[in-house]
Amino acid sequence: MTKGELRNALLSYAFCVRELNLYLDTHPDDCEALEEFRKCRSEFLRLKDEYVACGGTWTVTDSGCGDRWDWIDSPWPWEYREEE
Amino acid sequence: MWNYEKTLQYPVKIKNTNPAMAKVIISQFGGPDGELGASMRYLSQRYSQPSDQVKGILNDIGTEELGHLEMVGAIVHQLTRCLSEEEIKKSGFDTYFVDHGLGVYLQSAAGTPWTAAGIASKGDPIADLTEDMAAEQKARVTYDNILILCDDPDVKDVIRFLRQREIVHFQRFGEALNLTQEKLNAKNIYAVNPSMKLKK
Repeated sequence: MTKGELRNALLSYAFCVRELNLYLDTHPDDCEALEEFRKCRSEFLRLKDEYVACGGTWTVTDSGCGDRWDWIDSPWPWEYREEE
Repeated sequence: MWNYEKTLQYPVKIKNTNPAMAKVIISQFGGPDGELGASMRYLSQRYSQPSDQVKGILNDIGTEELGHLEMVGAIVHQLTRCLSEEEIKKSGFDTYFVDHGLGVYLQSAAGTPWTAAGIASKGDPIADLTEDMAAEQKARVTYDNILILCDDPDVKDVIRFLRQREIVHFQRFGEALNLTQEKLNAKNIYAVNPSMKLKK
């Protein structure tokens, strides 16, 4: 996958994790949903590791792997960019 | 404690600026039924809840609303990121521009600065959750109104996502209210029992 494709996949799984999070808050004993959450979480974490490995940033703790503090680098999420 | 993910929950890519539209959409940033109000309402209500499910859902929806606040801010920013003097004057954006330039400020479309006057935290699970369901509907209606006023497909796409989230949140709060009422009913005949709060 390209970095852009990875990012899109990551966004999708982040959303699944969140959606299941909210559902489980009011249905904590739903075992099927819990299993689904675990699957989404595992895929999310796998994709995040891949994304970070090819230079992507997600959270502060993913940063600082190179020779400078890249956390501050543009683009920030609210900025308009033509490509992708 | 909040951590930050360096992403928007859903992408905002607005090719064309439109300050008149920004002036309308800003109501979901700092207006009475906007995302900041939603977040602060739910995060404030957490503290007095007796039930873990309700603490959880208020915590987590309150957190998601901060992400939505960020998305609305991004829309307003992108709609006004580079404007000509003529665009500013013709669009009615001049009354905002004089005080805030191209900055993003927490206000309603009518210009009222954000206020906690529009949100409630009553310390009572029934009142709070009912308020929250109303809040999600009010936000949904505001997004409906924005969709009526807006022509730009880049903007409409994001607004539809945000609107859909309000509907899901309404569903979750409804479930939380049912859970609360069931618990109260198990010990009492009535759904509302103020003395429940005083027992140890």
